Amino acid sequence: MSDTDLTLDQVLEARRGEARQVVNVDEPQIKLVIFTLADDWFAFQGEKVREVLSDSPVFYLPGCPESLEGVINVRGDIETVVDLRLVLGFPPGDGRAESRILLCRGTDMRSGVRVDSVREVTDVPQSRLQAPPHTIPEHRRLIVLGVVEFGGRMVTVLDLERIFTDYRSGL
Amino acid sequence: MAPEASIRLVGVRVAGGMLMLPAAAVAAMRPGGAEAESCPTLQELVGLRPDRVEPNRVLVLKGRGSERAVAVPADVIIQDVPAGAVHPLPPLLAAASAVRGLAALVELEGEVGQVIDPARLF
Repeated sequence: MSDTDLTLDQVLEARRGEARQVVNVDEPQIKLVIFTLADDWFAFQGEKVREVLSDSPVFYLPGCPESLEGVINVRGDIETVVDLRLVLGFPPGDGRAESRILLCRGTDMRSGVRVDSVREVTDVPQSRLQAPPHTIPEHRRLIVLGVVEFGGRMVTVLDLERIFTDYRSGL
Repeated sequence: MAPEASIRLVGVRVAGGMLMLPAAAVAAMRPGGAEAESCPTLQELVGLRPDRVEPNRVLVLKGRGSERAVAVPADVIIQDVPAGAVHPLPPLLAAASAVRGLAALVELEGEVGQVIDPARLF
């Protein structure tokens, strides 16, 4: 056996060390529900999203603002559906094939939120959440918690509580 | 097993949706004619844009201590609805709806109606 040979215990210990570097279980994670609006990628904190609905008929109610599509029946509970494109000032969407409704709950508000598509539900290390860049438009900066790089894209993490509050006060 | 409690509602289709009124709050229903042309429509009373449908029936609604006649379309439905099909307003709808007197939502076959409480109107 030469000087460079390792014992089995040394090899296993080295491998355990590698594993520890890869998975740092102590680092706080945040769950994100990543979705798209137009060509932009956004996310809500996972704790605010109770469910992702794919195919719920929305019942129109006269007297609602355009951004409030109507209501859906979720296993006997009636919930509103707001179109996040219109709430955030994007043009109305056309294709609805991939569209989803996120059933969201804030502190004192709940609603379905329509998005163009849901891309991923994932945990990311909290340390990867960066402050909102200055390139974010002024009117949108207040509703942004931060940005996170995911799969080579920048994902803007939105403050659902603030969106609900602003939506109500802007009515 | 005791039958499920229900509420009788009077409904009219206006502005692309179904507006429902508690039957207990409807004092009378009369054919329209001249009276329907002279009184406000239900849409006007609740703050919705008028329909093109000619109102040709009159409902007399009971508010808080007073009554008011409103014109509605001819097709009026009267329906006993299980209490479980009546829902309180979701918070965002309560904040966003422009419908005056809106008190609840009701699940109907294939749609959701808006329940108006005249006591919240006059």
